[in-house]
Amino acid sequence: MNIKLLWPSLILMFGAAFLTFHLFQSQFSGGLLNVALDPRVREMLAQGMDDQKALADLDPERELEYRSRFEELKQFQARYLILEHNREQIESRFELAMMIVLALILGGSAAFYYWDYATGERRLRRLQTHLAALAEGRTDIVVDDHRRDRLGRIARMIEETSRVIAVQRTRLASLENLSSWQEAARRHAHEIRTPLTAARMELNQLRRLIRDRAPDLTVAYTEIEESVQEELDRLKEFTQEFTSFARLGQPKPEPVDMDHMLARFATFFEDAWEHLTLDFEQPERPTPTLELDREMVRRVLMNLCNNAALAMADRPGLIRFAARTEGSQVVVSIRDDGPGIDPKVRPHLFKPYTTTRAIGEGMGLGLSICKKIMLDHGGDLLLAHTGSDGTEFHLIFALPSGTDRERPSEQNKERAHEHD
Amino acid sequence: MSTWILLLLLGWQHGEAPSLSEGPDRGLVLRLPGALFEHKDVVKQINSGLTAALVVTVTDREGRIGGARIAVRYEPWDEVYHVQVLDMRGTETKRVLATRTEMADFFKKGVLHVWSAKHRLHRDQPFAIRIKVLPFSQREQADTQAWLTRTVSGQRPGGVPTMGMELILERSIKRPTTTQFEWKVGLKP
Repeated sequence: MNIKLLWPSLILMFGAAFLTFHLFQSQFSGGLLNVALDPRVREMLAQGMDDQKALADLDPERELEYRSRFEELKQFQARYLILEHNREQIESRFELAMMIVLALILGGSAAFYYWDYATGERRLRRLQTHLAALAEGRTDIVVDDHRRDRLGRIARMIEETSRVIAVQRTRLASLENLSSWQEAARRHAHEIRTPLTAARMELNQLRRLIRDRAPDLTVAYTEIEESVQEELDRLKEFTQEFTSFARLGQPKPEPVDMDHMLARFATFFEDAWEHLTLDFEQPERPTPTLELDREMVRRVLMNLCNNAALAMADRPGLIRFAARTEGSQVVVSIRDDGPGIDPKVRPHLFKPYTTTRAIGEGMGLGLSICKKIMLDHGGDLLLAHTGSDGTEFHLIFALPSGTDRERPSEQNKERAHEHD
Repeated sequence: MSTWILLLLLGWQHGEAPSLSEGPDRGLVLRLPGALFEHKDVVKQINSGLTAALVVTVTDREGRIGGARIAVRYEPWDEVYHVQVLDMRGTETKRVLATRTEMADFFKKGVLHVWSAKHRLHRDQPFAIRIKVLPFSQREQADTQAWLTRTVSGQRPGGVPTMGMELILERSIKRPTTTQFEWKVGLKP
């Protein structure tokens, strides 16, 4: 509240209260007292007493009865007279009491107004400081204002904004990092592909020369050529992996029922890995519909399952999929019961060329590609847990704006009914 | 304040003043003027049926105080006045009088011993005499307070007031002085 408005409103309140009090006093309490102390009541009491006395004269046998009534009237008349004597006193006491009550109410109200104003000002100053910090780019803001009023809501918004900025910064840093790796991969692929093509052409030329000019060397040459071709093919595959990472496109989002997608994935690919069992836990409350590129997300799931299968080698294993809604995001968890990730690898798990496999068995780009896909979806890929009891990854998806977080989508509702 | 001044003037202008004389036990005896019992307010109070009190104080120039207390209650059934007098000797006198004239005559007889013999008398100095008229007794006041509390709160007899308004009403019942007379009189031989 503006201090300029505080005083006029207080004065107005005081004025209205005093006016109401005055009207109440003059029209209501004063009027009631007039009714109570009507002089005719006293006259009637006196008349009643006279009547009892007259009746006793006329009927002396019932004198005691009339005397009793007479005394009763007399007592009432006495009280009435005493009240009349104290009329002004009663009025003034009543006024005083009302004034004290009024003063207490008004004083209390004024004190409350002032306290509320002063507290509001203090809180506003604190919010101003935090907003300034937010404008400076700080992302660790804790406002510590938990009230449920407007200022409290603004405080929570500032905290939430600070958190969102922190998350976005991390994502942006990851994206920038991956983008530079992508660019490097693209250049490497190009640099390798050019001499690779030249080498193939030279090899063809050499084959023709041998055939034309030294046919007796053809057999020996063919063996050597096959060996060189094999190496060149491996080099080609290597280049294709680079290209695949470098040419990772932008996702083409479409509405996807995540629960349905995970359930189908677990069913369709249950035989894809010989020793793995895939299981999807249907959530109690259906997951809201998400906007995502179905193929890309499937690629992420495939990659994670592949990694799990490779980590478990020939040992039988279980991979569990689950989805849950947390605030403004959906978390899909993929948990295996494998041996866990090597602690040395964990800190740079999502960096390109990070692998635990032997040289020549993989470039270590799989998780980088998965991370990039998830970041391109406005979400993230996180290592939630790893240890001797298994590894759990989280795919984070932002809920589309306008999604009713409390209510499932129509499609999900239908499915929920089916499950019921 | 203006009411008090008016009352004082009324007192001073009252024609007949009380007379103060030395009693047999070296105390002072006050004789009240008959006109006092004809005064409009006094008549109203002593005929009300309540126990009206006339509180008499006598003060000398040194500030020493003597006095007496007269309680008058009119009994309308019997049409008599019950008069009770307490004076400086500590004696209580009770009379049943039929008329105000009898009452006036009674107080002219010198029944009010208003000065203790223990006090040294300055016979040449005037005494200030003040009579305050109280309309009802303490007992009647207490009875009305209790009745009012019961009536307002709807309590049974003997209940204790709990609400602020009942307390306000109960405490509002006081014994106001309706009239006050003042004279300065010398000691009659």
